Amino acid sequence: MPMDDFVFHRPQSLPEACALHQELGDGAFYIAGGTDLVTDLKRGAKTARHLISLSGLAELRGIRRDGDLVRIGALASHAEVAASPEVRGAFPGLAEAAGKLGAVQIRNQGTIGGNFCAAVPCADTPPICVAGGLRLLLSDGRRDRELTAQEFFLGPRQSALEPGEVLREILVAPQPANAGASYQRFTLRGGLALSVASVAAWLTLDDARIGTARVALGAVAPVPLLVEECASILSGQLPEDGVLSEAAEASAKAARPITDIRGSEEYRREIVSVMARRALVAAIERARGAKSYPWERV
Amino acid sequence: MSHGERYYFIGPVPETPGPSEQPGPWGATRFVGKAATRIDAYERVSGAAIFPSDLVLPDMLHGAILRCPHPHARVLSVDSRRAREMPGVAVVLASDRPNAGRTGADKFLVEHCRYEGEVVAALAARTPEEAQDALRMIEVEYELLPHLSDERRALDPGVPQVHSSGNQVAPTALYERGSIVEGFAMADAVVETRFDTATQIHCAIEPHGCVARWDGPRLTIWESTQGAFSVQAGVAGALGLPLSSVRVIGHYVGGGFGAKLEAGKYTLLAALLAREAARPVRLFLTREETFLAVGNRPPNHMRLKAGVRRDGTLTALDFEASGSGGAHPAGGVALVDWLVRDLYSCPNVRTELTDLFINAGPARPFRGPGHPQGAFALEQVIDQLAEKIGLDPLELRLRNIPEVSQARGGIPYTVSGLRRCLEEGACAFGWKARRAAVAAKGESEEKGASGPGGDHGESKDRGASGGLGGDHGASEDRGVSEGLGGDHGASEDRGASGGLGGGESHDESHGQSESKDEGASLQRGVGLAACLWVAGAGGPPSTIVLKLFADGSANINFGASDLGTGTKTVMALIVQEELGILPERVQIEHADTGTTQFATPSGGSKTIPTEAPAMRDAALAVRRQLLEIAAKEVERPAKTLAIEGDAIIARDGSEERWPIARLRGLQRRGVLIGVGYRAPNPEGKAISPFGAQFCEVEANRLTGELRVLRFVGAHDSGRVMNRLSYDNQVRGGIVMGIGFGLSEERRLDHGQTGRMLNANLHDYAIPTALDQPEEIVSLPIDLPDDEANTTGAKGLGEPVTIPTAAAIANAVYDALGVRPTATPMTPEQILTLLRAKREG
Repeated sequence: MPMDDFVFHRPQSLPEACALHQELGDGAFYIAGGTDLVTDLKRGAKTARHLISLSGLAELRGIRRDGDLVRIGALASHAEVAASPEVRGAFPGLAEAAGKLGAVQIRNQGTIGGNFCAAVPCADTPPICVAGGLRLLLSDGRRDRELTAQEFFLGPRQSALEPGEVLREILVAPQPANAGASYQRFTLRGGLALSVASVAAWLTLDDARIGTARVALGAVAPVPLLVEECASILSGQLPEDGVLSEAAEASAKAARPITDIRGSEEYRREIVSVMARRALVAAIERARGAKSYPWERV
Repeated sequence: MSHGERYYFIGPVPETPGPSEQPGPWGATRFVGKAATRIDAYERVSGAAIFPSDLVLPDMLHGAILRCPHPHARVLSVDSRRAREMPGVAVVLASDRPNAGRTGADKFLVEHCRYEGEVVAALAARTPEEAQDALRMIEVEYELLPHLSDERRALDPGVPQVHSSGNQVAPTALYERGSIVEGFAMADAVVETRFDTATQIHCAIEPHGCVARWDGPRLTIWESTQGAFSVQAGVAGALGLPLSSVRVIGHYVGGGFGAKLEAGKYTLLAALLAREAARPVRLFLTREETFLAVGNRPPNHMRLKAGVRRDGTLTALDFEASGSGGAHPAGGVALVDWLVRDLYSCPNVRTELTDLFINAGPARPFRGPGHPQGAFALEQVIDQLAEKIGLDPLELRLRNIPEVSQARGGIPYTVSGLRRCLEEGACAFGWKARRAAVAAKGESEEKGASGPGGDHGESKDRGASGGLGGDHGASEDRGVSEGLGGDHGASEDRGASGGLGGGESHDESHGQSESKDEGASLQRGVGLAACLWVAGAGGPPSTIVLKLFADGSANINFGASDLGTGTKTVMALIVQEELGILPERVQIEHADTGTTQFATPSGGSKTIPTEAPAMRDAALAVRRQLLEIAAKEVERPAKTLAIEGDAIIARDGSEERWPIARLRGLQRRGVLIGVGYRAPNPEGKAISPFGAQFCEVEANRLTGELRVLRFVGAHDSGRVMNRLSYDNQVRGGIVMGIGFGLSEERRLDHGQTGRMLNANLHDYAIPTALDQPEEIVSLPIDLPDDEANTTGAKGLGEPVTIPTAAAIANAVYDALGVRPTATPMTPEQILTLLRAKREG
């Protein structure tokens, strides 16, 4: 598979990278892990004249605790996110999602920043961040700004990034002790597969009742879709079968899937309902203190 | 198939002289049949093995092929001027070149392109990247023509015609014995079902390709191939060269599965590019090209009507199938009906096969051509009949085992292990206990109404009765190994979901409404399917040379490829069996037309049954000579001597030993040469391998997901030659069959572009390591077929993938009460079937 010629740049700082991007303009792409971009370039879906590597940018590296925040550098690989004690402690649902994505090689090579910035509807890490209400730190090299994960996505392969702007960090605010989350995806084989549909659930339990609840869908809408109806269906309710079914049905109804080689519109809707229920059940158990993340069971 | 004609060989098959002696069968063996590590295991594992695609020669150029991107188009003009000026480009073969005729390339360049992937031009450049860049600079003007991508519409009025003669390759082929009308009249129960199997791509890990180098008029080709000699013949024929000018070497091949039996167009183009450039050319296809242009298991659409009497006697089989090998004749329905004709006793059989053209890439033989498709139909219909007459599916099969090959004029089988495969496989699997458990619960009528509790109980029964079954309570640990369509976290959560609502909704699940509870929605079932493989007997020709060196070490020289099945190791084991020479003291020279003897391509599961007897003959020839030399030297009759390890021993119990390396006669000669030949197969006998597979599947009623939990493969392939590679074949075949059954499908953009939508290893889903069953048990039915040949071996590589998908389908029916009649059995198909059943 051929690629057009491009110039490969290796800036060493965030301001340098952003300045370069602004200077080079159209035809310049940031590249981190490249798992998405390189395949696009190879099949001619994108044409790049300049690739600006983000790999040398210390500002985007690492996962660290900063007061009560956990800051996940955009260059963190999925494998790093999945294995990070900080992420597992602060927002384990994201570690779960990162650990399910793609295949071992993809998880080692691809970055969480890239998973967001490509803004592909079936991406695995955004839905849980949308459900968890996470914020993102963006930078144009001179000033930083914050957005919610939900605000970041505008459409298929469209994000709120301004030209030259970089996703710097994913910010994990402290979670209430009574919170639980789960990310459930449905794929046609065990590894190296894109989601047919996925559902992320985040909720809190006050005594026996559901407090706040957010459900976000992946691969079934132009963007990771927060199902607004679920909040009102679930809030204040006992986590009983009927309520969960109602939320699952609301999720299926809210989905706007397309038909493609991975599944028909109708099938995807059905899967959303099953995944929503799975995600809610798991999130409730975890809010109750169940140790059911993969790393907790070994 | 008649003598002198094989699907893996074009034209009459050459014959070789008879062997020098017809030795008696081996009784107990000391080395053959044991689990032996491959003699090239180190090379393969360490990366030292040089596959053709690894080869780098000085000054080597890289070739690339421009292929038509449309399913049907006419090339109006080609302009390769810009490509020729691109950096690094050495030579371009395109129809606009003034000398296209002179290079001989014109006959390989297609003007009327009938499938996506036809060859339009080729070039060679310094680097692969430069070659690909230059390829894009070739300007081709196409006239797009209406295309046909769906073979089910091929004979509809008004559809695009692939060839001016129409869309049917040849007149519908009819086979008939007895009278199906009478057969159905005798039947107490009749079923009729339609089945569809999707196109499967071979997906060998090493793509097709070669490195070609000329030395003056002589051409050497290192090709990833199943048959060095068939490539040699193909290249020599196409280029008008004597065989002596074409040397083909194929020491290693990274998988073939039937798609690398002959020279490809890429082989010829590489040779032409290399000749034009006067430099070696490496031309390996991209992964995408391998999906489009070099082979597949064709799609088939089948209807099978079958009749049975209450006592389980099959009375009639009426089978109709269509299929397409693509845009050119390529066996779109080849052997699809063979199992219907021959697997079970049935006096009245009619089959009708219609081969159709579509605008798509060519079929090639693929691991048991036609058979997995036919098995998918036949073995499900047999289960349907069994249910109708209230007989266990195993029992119905056991009541219809033929002693003779009905489709080959009723000649008897040398050995048929079908009964033992079924019986012993069933025993190892715990089939009877599982069926009894189902019957005891009265589940057979109301499938799908019960929760998973009973299933767990059954798995205990199985553990107790099956013995081999292992601990299937391990399914609680689902998170560790994901099933096809499954998903890590999901299964973990399923395991943990009991705490929430599990108990309550479990009870509800026995009511009328569909349970939404995940635990209750998981249902298990078991299924079985049997098979035979039409070929797998092997036969002449084979010529193998064994050289014994003065120090007692040896060289084996044979022409066949070891396409990853362990042929070389088996050859070494035979030499060890007859001469006692350790495999590490044996050098193997093979699959090289320059230095080894003619061999037919390794395919049809016939490599071992063809080559092993010739190897044994060569070893016996050396043994005879060696014992004669020894007899003179130690002054005893040859027949009182034997070979034991590195010494000649006296067979009189005296324990006298004479080291081979010190035999003066051998020292003087320096080498003893034994030439072995393959004797013909017995006249008037049919030789086939048989098998039966059993599986357990877990189905999710909510998502339609299927997880294959375990498989037992019981195969009669004659004598087991190497237990280790035997078991590997069984596992590999089952995994490939799981891919065929559950996830693999060439998707063409019907009604729109007609192009392939998933021509890559991401969207075309072969099973990954995470999609394997937790347990695959290989159960060899070790029945040496002494009448078939002097080693008693029959083929194994293909039968192991034939019944797999059918067994899964039968297990799905057992679990859910719906019958998946199309491959791949996707979750979506399962859910659609469940919905249809619910809605009546």
